[in-house]
Parts: sequence; structure tokens; C-alpha cells
Amino acid sequence: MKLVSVFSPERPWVWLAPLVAVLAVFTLFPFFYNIYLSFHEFNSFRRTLVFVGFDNWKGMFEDAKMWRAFSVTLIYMTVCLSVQFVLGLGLALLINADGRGYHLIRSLLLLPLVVPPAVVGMMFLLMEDSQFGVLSWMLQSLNLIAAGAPLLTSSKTALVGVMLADIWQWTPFMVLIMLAGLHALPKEPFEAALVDGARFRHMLFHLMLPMLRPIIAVALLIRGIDLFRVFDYVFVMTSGGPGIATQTLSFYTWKQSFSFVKWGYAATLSLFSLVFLIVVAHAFIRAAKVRW
Amino acid sequence: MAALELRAVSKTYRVGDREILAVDDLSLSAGDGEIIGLLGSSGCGKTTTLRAIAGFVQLTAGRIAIDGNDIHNLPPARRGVAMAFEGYALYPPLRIRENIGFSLLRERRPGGEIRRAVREIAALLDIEDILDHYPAFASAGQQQRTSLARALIRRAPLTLLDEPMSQLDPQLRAQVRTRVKEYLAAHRLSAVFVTHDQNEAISLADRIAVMEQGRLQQFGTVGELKNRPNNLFVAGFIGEPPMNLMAAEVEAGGARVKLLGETDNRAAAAVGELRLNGAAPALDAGRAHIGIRPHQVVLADDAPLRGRVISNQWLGDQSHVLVDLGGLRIVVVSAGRVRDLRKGENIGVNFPPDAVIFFSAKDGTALPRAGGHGGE
Repeated sequence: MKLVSVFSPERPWVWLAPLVAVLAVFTLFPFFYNIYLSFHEFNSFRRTLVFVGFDNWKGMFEDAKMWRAFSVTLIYMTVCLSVQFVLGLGLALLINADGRGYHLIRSLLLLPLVVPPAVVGMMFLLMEDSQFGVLSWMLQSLNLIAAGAPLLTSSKTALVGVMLADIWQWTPFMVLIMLAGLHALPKEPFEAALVDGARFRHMLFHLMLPMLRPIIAVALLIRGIDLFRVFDYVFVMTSGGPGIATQTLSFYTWKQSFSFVKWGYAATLSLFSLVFLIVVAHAFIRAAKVRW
Repeated sequence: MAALELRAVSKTYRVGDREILAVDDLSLSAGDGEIIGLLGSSGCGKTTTLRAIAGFVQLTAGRIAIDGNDIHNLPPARRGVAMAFEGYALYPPLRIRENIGFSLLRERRPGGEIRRAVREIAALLDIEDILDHYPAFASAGQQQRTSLARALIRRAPLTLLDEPMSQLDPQLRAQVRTRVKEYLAAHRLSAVFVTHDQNEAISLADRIAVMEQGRLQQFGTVGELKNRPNNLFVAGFIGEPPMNLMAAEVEAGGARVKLLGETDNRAAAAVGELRLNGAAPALDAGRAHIGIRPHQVVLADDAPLRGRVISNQWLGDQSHVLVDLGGLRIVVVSAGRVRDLRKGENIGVNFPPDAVIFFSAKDGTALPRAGGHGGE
């Protein structure tokens, strides 16, 4: 058979095969294996998977540590998302101008995005050190924290310490999206509003935000899903500590899998995350009337 | 409710390292309650002028005053102007009703008063049935009337309208024009509007400013623009059909004028001769341009200027006859039906001396007449 005749429009499966293979091996198989795993548990004495029925699912809903991790994740997501959105929009409004130097500012602002999250975590770990960290020193100078107060090793402030790294790294992403949105807005309605005597807050709340709604919704959705999965900063900076103060759902899942070798329970936790994200994301898409 | 004054206003745009002079040394003033039309073709600077009055364009030079107070350094909101934009500039997230009432809400007027005012202006412009729609669901014409309503409802001392009726179909346009004019007059509002449509300018404006290439060509009433044009541009721009313009050679004293053909004609082949009985301006012998309105040319069998009929069009109330005077084509408008004129027929035309206007061959400006009547 000639090569040309193999790659003919009459044989679509030849074209589809590579993609189907990749999807099957890296997406479909792990997904279904995950479901399979969630009804089993690894028995380290027998060194094999044992069928346990719904035990993992029942156990999960009774697991206080899981609910603790879930609520830490929700707090982390909500706070980071709010701060990143407000800061992102604010900064975008500030640098959405054509004057000299704004182009440079816009380019510089994107630098945090090119640093790997694990590296950012290490940086903030050092900067938040209570002895010689520059961030700790600044917060102490501003009287926001007591002198010598440990930021990451106190259960009261550790989560905030992790959030700082996330906010530093991902606010520019919000700025970028908001800038694109602001740039696409028509100028004339705002000129009309100026003539009509509207103040900035009127323009912001009556015109700008409603006109940006589709793009805001997409930005919140993407960032929200990302924040729910947070792992790297927690892993590098606190390993979930002190105690379980910064233990997020994905970190708890990782711990179950790789520290406690509870593969079945870890699979159950990851499926729970997936279902939760799908439900919330769909509700959000409906509520915000996002059109793809 | 306000008098507007523009003094030596100039605006230069910088595009890359090029400078574009959009408005060049423009001065004009409008009285209290007067409606001024800025008329010109695309790119003549009329919209820049309007946006400068509104406060969106920083002047390069000159000043703008309303009621004697300089406003050209004030932000748009503090100038006391209302504006309807050419692109409508409606607020997409707000309903038509909220769009129109937006400024009144900002002034913290009571709700009942706003509702009444919105209903009144919507009735005037025939958009009552779409008040609860969003702009995206309104037609272009409805959006434009919404934009007009949003400007008119404010009863600002000065209302600025940028091509306010360009999207309306002709019947509606005539109706809206009349109503807008009545509304402005009833509330003694001053207005400046921009248009490229001379019919609109003529029917809406008290006085018209004709602009071309950033310069004010002439500012006056329709009558002044039509009968005493300042220069060749205004003469050729105003009027439908426009003035017949031709190159001519004037004898010293101006008793006799030799017609040479089109205004850009360099070959001096005489087409015919006019006897003007001293009505010509006091100018030295030499080249000049002359113009005459189509409806002032008289068709007469015994006239000395002879030509051939090229076409004869009956418009229902007047005839447009195109006559070739041997290389020079002129249009004659005759109110009566000139039924018997056929293509190719030989005909005589007469230019009544009083109707002929002289322009300088050098710069195209109108030349004063010796007798002191007619041209300035």
C-alpha cells in the first residue's frame, strides 16, 4: 500500500489515531483508572489492590482533616481571587495609558509570570523569614506584625504568607487580561459619560464593569480553577504546616498518595475535587452568562 | 441660552513625525439661541472643531468662550455642553430609558421628573416603544435618535450634534429635523451641529460655517452663501446644482468679458463674449473667474451666447438643462417646463449682469463690484 493512499480523506482514523492515542493513554486511562482506584485500597502487606466498595467515599465524608483541607482551599481561593482581581483591575486602570514609559511598565509587570512557581515559593520563603527576610522586616516596620514574629511558622499567619507569593505571581496575569479587556472597550461611551457629568465611580460601576463582564468572568473562572488546585507554594513554603494550617486539598491528596500510600483514598479525593470544580464552574458559567 | 465664541482656534495632530493641521485659525461666534451648522466634506476639520468645543481635543492655539468665559481649559463636564456623537456612543449596559436619563440621574433629579422628561423627549423623537430595550437591540436609526435624545434632554446652554441624523431615512430625517429645531427654539437653546449634507445644514441652521481643509471658508446665512460666496470653493460647494464657474478674460474697465472655458482651462480659446454694462468689478484687464447660479441663467433664442443642448431633465418642478457652449458646459435651471428643448438643439443663453459674480484668478476670492451691489 502506498503512503499516499494511507493518508487519504477516506481514512479519517489514520489522521485521528495520534490524538486518540495520546488522549487514551494520558487522559482517559488515568481518569477511569482513578475511578477504579477509588473503589480499592492498596494493601501493603499483600502488596496488591483490595476491593473496598464505597469505604473510601464514606470515609472521606467523615474525615475531619479532609474538610479542614477543603475549607483552607476555599479560603485560599476566595481571598487570592478577590485580591488578585481588585489589584489586577486597579493596576490595569492605572497603566492603561498611551504616555511615555507605559509600554515599559506593562512589559516589566509580566516578569513574575515567567518565574517557576516553585522558585517564587523559595523566594518568598526567604523573604518571609522572621530573622533576615526583607518582607518580614517591611511588615514589622509598618507595625503590621510584631517584631520577630514568625510569618510562616505561626498557624495564624502561615496561610497569609503563602497567599502573598501567589498574589505576587498571579496579579500580573489579571492585569494582563484586564488590560486587554479595557483596550477592547469603545472610547465613545466614556466620552459621552464625561459630557453627561459622570464621575469616575459612575463610569466604573455603570459602564466599565458591566462592559467588561464577559472578560472578568473568564478571568475569574481560569484563576479560580487554578487557585483551587494550589500545590507548589504550599509544598515549597510550609509543607502544609504548621500542623495542618496550610494544608490544601491537593496537598492533602498528595500526602495520602505518596506519604501514606493510600492510593485508593487519594484517588477518591482527587475525584471529589474534580466533581466539585465541574459543578461550581458550571454554576458560575450559568450565573455569569459566559458565552464560549 | 449661551453665546459661543471661537477665536483663532488651531489644532495640529502629530502622527509619527508628521504634523497634520486639522483646524487652521478658525474664528466664529454664535449668538444666544442660534443654531450653527458646520458644513464641509470629510476631513475638513468640522468634527475636530466640534470635539474641541466639547473638550475632547486640546487646542494647539486659540481660545473658546461660552458667554464670555473661557472654557477651552475646562474638562468636558464643566463646560455646560451636551453632545450627540456620530457613532451614537450609547451606554451598552443601560436600557434606552437609562441612557437618555443618565445625565439627569447624575444631577440627582427626582425620579418622577426624570421619567417625565425621558417620556417627553422620547415622544418627540418617536422612540417611546423601545425605551425598555438595550441599545444592542435597537436599529441604527433608533440608536441615533437615542443619542440625540440623550443630548437634548439636558437642555444644556450649548448642544453639540455630530452628524445627528445621518442614519435616519429621508422622511424621518425631515420630521426629526423640524422637531429638533422647534425643540431648540422653544427652550432657547444654542446648538452647533456638524454635517456634510447641505440640505440638512440649510434646513436646520440659522447660520452655516463652510469649512475646507481646516479653514473656515465662509460663515453666513444660506442667502449669503448662495448669493455672495466668499470664494470659488463656497460657490462650487453650496447649491444644488452648484454654481456654474468658468475662466474668463476681462477687458480693462470690465465692460466686456471673454469666456474661456472651464476654470482649470489653460488654453485660451474664447468660447463667447459677455457684455456687462459696467457691472464688472473695478479690475485691471486680465484673467478672472466668473460664476453664475444655474437658475439665474436665462434661456433665450435671441441671446448672443450660443450653445448646444446636451441633456434636458424634468424633475417635476423644474428643468435641468445642460448646455455646451463649445467646450464649456453650464447647467441651466428653469422653473417652467422647457418641454420642446431636445438634445443637440441650438439655444441661446443670457447671463443677467447682476447675477454674475467675479473671482480672482489668483486665489479664488470673490471680487467686489464696481457698483457696490452684488458681491461684497
